[in-house]
Amino acid sequence: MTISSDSRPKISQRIAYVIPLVAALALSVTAYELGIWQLHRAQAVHNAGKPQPEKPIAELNQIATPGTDLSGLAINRLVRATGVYSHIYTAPNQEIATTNSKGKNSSKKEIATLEVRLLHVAASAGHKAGDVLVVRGMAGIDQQTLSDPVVVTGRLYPRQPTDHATGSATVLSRLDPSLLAGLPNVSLYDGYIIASDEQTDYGQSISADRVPAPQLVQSAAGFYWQHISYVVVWWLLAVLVLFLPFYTRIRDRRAGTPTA
Amino acid sequence: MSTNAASAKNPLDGAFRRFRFMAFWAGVMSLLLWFVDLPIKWWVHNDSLHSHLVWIPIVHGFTYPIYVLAAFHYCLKSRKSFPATIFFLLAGTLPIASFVAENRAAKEYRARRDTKSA
Repeated sequence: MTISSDSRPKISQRIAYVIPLVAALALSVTAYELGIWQLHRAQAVHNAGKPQPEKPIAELNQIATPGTDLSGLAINRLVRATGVYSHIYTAPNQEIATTNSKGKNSSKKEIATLEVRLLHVAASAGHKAGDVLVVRGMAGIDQQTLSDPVVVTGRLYPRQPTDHATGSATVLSRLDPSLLAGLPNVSLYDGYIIASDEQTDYGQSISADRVPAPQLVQSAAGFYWQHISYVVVWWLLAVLVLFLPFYTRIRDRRAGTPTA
Repeated sequence: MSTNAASAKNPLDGAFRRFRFMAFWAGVMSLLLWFVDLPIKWWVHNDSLHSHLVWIPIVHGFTYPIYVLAAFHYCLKSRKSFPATIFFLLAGTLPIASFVAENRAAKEYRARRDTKSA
């Protein structure tokens, strides 16, 4: 089979037409995908401030294990733990959420000194014993004597990464169980609980100056309308780039001249 | 009344003027975004200061499509090649590139104008 001399320019013309077309297609798909990425980021920003639906209260030892990091699924969960308080601490300069007149969480924060106790959770079927930090509420002048077992209900939070005060034997610089790693015979749960309710073994409620335990909300970088504008930009680029090879071909045919 | 070729309205004039303005605008907004907004957001970690700069990424985002359209129109009018058009479209994403594109377009525009008037 031979290729005629007439067909050679046609093949080179086709290649010259196909290469920009393929390049335009690749660039267009890239711009489209970048638009999708920005759209997902916009959705993430949009959903970031919203609280998640509350799950049923779980037993602490069913969703967490002493000596291991808290899983992402355990953080923010409402938990129940039964045990005996062993040590008492205060945690100064802690930022706490406030509630408005309707009892809903407000965006305003207050600084307070909190009463924190170490709760020893006894071993149960299939679960080993462990110790968890419990924020009972605001630190008062008098500390209640709680030597009997208590049932604590509250929200589980991840350990704090930064110090808020100078620590000592009875003062926690931050809400972090690793600060208590030197205590003898303790097996610490990661994170801490902010108690919303305490009851004795007999079901009698224990009063305390509680602090709000709001859900942690995920943050996402950027602003919603900023990401939406980038979606517009990338998709506009995708359309224009895809249109370009066709336009230049039509224009060159009409004019009979090559591009600059 | 002037009748020479130099005073005749060049069809590229409007497209070039619009592109030039948007290239400056996109360049300034990119400089603000890259060297003011992003460093304060990721390095300074000052939320209070950053809250005053919220407008930068939003204004940049919503005016960039206008730059893209102006650049595309200018490229079509000046019969730019495919790679050159892509360069002009993407030049607004980097802080200096839109100034480079504007400078290149200005040189070409002057050269065309001088050729016509000669």
